[in-house]
Amino acid sequence: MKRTSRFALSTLVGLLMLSLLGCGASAKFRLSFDVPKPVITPLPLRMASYYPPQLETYVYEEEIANFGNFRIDMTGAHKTLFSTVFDSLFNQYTEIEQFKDVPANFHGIIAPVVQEVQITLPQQTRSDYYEVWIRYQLQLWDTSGRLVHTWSLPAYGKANKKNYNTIRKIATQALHDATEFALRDAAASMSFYFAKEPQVQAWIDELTGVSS
Amino acid sequence: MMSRSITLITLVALFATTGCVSSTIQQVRQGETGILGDEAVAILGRRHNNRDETRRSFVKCVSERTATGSQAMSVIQDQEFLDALFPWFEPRTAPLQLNELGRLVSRPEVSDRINEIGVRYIVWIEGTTERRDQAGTLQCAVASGGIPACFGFLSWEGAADYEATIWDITKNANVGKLSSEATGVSFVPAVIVPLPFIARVQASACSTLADQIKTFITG
Repeated sequence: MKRTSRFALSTLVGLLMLSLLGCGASAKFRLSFDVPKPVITPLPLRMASYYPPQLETYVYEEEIANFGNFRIDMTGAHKTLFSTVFDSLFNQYTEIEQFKDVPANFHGIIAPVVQEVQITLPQQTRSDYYEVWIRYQLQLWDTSGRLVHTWSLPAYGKANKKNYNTIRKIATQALHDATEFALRDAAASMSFYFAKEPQVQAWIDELTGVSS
Repeated sequence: MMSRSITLITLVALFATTGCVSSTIQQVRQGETGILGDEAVAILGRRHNNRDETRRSFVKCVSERTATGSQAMSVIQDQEFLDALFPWFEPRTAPLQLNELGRLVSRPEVSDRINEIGVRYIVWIEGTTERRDQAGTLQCAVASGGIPACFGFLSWEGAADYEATIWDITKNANVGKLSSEATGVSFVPAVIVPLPFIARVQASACSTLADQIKTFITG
């Protein structure tokens, strides 16, 4: 009886040590993302958006030497982000499957793609933060098929490891939150800076008849 | 006999886990305050600083304590406020200075939303909890008989240093600044079983700051 309880105790301690050694390493998860509707005044534009399959089903995967495998399935998240922002940003907004489907009275089409995703771990940067960078490329087309402007939209999110009390799966939870914050940052930037891109501003002025 | 001793040690460990904490509070009043029954306070953590982001758990603790107990007031929690006014209070876009708040509130869509949720005051919380002056060592091992045991002595000083800046949205004024500093020494002596005596500095700073916020705003 005594030997059995000692064995059980040793096994428990061993398992605890193993779980501590394993913490903070690999993370694999599917991003669950929702973004609030931006509180902004819509631009006087009728716009369509085209979401390529790359954006809709984007999965980030990386093996980081000494730290393990990381996989963030962002399926649906980027589309949720852009469609929510565009719905508030434009007077009238619709999604299209192909460019030729754009309604006749619309002003243009906007097409985002994910250009790059990067993550860093606290162990790499010697900080308290899990960090995520996302770079989108956006293209604005008018309805005649002319490319008006192409620009980059960088976004950044971070999550403090001290905000997570659980011993295990800190990396999964923190990277999930950092990715979510990066997407919120992208939504904020899009809401603020879309009309401030000089070429976009000139195009809007042209459409609305504002002389420079 | 041995199991009785372990039970006794465990009970001592459970009851004697709180170290001493000393707190210092300060306040600077720059304007008159007061709050009506239908007005609320939004308590937010500063996130623009990459090095010392205010911990979420601290902001949540202050919000919950401000919303309960004597002089309790209606509090809108950090995330709820950020979502209600998205994207104006995100880390990259939140107003850092009062004049930026003035410009923000002059936008009709923003002021309408603020009126809708009934926020009168924004309380910005900044600060950190740090562990410093750590000394001693504590080692745990599984002995050959299979019994885990720890030996040593560990001590450190915990310091929670937080500041709350209070903005009155209706007056577009910075009405005051409060600070709460709590320090305490924690120690863990271990002879087979470790006995932690933890100075709960963050909890102490949270309760004193929340009480200060309530007293300050109600005038």
